Amino acid sequence: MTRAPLVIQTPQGLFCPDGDFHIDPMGRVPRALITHGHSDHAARGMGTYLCTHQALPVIRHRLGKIAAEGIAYGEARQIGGVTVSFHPAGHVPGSAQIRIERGGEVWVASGDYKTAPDALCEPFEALRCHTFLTETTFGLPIFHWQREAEVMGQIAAWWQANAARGVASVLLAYSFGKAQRLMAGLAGLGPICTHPVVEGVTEVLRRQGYRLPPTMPLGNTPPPQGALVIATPNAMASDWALALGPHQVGAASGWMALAARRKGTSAAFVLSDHADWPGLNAAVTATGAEQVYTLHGSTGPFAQWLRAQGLSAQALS
Amino acid sequence: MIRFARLVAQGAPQPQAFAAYQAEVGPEDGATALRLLSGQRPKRLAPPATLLDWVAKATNTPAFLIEACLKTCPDKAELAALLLPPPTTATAPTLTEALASLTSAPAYLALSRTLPPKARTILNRLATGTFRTKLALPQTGPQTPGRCLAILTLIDPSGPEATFALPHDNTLVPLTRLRVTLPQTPALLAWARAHVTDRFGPLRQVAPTQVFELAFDGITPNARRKSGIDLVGGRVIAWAKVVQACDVPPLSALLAQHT
Ligand SMILES: [Zn+2]
Repeated sequence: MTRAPLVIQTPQGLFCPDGDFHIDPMGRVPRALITHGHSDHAARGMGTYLCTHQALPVIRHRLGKIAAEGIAYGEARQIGGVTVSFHPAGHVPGSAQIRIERGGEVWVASGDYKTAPDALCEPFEALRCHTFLTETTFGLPIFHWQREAEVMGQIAAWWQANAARGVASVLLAYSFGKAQRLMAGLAGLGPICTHPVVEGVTEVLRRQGYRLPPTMPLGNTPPPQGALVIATPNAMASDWALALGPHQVGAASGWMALAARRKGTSAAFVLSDHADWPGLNAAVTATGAEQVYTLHGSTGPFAQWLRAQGLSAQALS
Repeated sequence: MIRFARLVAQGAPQPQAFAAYQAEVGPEDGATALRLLSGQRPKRLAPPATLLDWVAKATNTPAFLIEACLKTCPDKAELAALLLPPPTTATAPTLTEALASLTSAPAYLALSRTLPPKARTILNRLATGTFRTKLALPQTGPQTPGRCLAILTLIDPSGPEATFALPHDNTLVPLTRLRVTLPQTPALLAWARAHVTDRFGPLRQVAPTQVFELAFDGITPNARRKSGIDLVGGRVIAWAKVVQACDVPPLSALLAQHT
């Protein structure tokens, strides 16, 4: 007997008919379960929001007045005909995979995830399920990440070399997640300054109890001698960048693995908040799922790869 | 090999950089590197497609995945480097040892596995006969640093990187392409947006009216350039707003002063 799928794809995003909720929707929907606070997962305009207690403060900080509720990692909650629970995804602070169960059948929507641990966020938890909806942002066998400590060592060496020449180091990163992972991984090596947008998110996380080093928000004053400045790419195109004085710009992203993406960047560091190829494969294997749906990035090739391994797999986007 | 890859990462290494490399790696690798950078290349082990094929087989990567990877990474030498998992050994071969492996597929694969991806990419270029980097012009005397004015002609807002040109025979000849990290960069980008005359991919051709002061560490001949020269260590110093484009000295004036 085939049963109705627990999750289907709709124009607004993933939808659970039995629970009457969407996961990380982009259109306006009455009830949204949110995996994490990145803007391509947590958008404005939903009737109600449900996310982990750890994810909620940043989501409120970014979206303003919303009807939202937090839930503990691992806490089971009945919603309509299904039981849902949130489990660490290792992507950014508070990020979760969403587990949905109905009469012994389990589906897991991964959200964005990273299997390797870092100095900041709750480590990824492997879940058993029948159907796994996995992200595949870096779902090609050319993406193999180095250990975080090695990359942080490369960034520290670049920072110190710049500081020795009296030049500030500007590191471009997303304001939520990557920015704080960098400061946590580089704590204690010298003064760390932030663009105000980065500082705002950092302060929210600091108040939640995440272990983050002291940082100095930069208004229109130049950074102190030998400082590391963490900013968003947008900030560098604004008037804010005028006060930086002599500086070198570096970028930290998984895409920096590719020479074409490194062009025009004086310093490029391969540091991703997503799973690499071995991480994606290990995660799929650990679920024991016989059915996999792929979302984001290399959905088609990764699904074809899984089919070649004997799984039932299909690209969703 | 890792150190050599770092030396050639940004293209033709400058003599000072090469001297520092030689001092670091010692006479054997120093001599090997000098041979490579003066155009003496090892015998080709295999064409890029064959090398990629070996790596695909060694990593059990099916053809459809190779095809998908080529869409993201079209450079076969780089793709072959990225497909192998990161090295697990702590020791890294010298440049001379790495070249000695370019005799057979098994020897190449065994050595390639011990290198990080960027060094592997360079090894792959050497193995496939696609390594083209040469030492920048060996100098007899010290470079003379200088400054010049030049006219902005093209800008890639994503860098932002800009192309600067000099007047020559009633036209503008491209002189150099440089990253713009001036305090006025945002204002420059705003100006450029309002004065686009043509687009070529990410490049915006802008009205040739804005003059910039460039500084450089020296000038080397390069027959492949329209201008016939490369600026060494070029950087953008200032947006010379008070200077009119028609007052920028021509290419011949720069050459007369510096070559
Ligand atoms: Zn995310």
